[in-house]
Amino acid sequence: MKRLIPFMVGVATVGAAVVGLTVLVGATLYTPTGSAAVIVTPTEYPTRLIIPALSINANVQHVGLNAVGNIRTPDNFTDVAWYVDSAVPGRPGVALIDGHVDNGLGLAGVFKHLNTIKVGDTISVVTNKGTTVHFVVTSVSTYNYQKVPMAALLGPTQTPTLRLITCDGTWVPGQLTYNERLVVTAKLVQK
Amino acid sequence: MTSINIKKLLPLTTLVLGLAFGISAIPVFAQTNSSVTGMATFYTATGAMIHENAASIPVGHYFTANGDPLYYYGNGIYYNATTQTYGDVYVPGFVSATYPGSSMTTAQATTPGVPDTGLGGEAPLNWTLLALSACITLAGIAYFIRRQVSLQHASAK
Repeated sequence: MKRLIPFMVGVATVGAAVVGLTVLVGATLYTPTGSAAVIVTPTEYPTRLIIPALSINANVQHVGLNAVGNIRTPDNFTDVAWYVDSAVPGRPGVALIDGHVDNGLGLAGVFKHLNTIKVGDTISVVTNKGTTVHFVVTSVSTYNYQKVPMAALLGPTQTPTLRLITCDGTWVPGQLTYNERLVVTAKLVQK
Repeated sequence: MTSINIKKLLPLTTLVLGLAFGISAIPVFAQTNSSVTGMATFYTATGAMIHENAASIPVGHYFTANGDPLYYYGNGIYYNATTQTYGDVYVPGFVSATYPGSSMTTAQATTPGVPDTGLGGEAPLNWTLLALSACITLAGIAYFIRRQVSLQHASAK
């Protein structure tokens, strides 16, 4: 019994340390389900997203779909991610960029305050070619997460359009996600 | 015959069991959402059904079962004028689509699902697990330090 106590304490100590480290990593780094599909980045792509009104100046990652067909998200909470099968920002069509609202510890993600953006605010996107394209916010909408009209949001538009998407609403424990998605739509403007 | 020194193996066994216990207790952080896709069966103006999995559906105007007019772009994508929404149909052999007037292409004519862009609801559980694991780890370390000190005192006597 005397020998068993240190042994049990050791098992508990090492086990607790592993659990703690894993929780910390899992809560701060995003690990989506399944492996990512191979994505092909075009020759022109966005590199930075700038929203002066929200003090956002974020690196842009490139993502495709995950194993269940959802658009992937950035692998950290400070970057945003451009869906590579949407338009290049500033080009005809809809460019879609997503970002996290928070992380697993409840700390603010890049789009934590996206719901405070207003119609008329400016969004800029810098591309790898060194050009900067400017958009002005035309609408801010929220949808139930199961009823987001993705086909329409990615559908044809009259002018080059940028759409930002993030989580909103309240947490759904059974689904491990928020119950709404916030979509900010912005149209290209010439500066 | 080689004898096994159990005393030497004990720390290693402790470490292995501790790691196994820790790894098995790791919660799963992955999230899933079902993909949002819309499938539709087209009808002609005379009510003749065009099978949704037809090898080729000609570009043109069709109707839904409810009588909503829709336009099929020929690339797996259709537009329902009544609901003002886009949807897709499965077209065998179809590998790439471009929405009309858009540079957007998809690997298949399916609508991507919504991204999961938050984990904040996990925060209370994660903070609780972090606090518990920190307490247990620190208590364990304190126990071994104290044990080491008392062993040293005992050997000094």
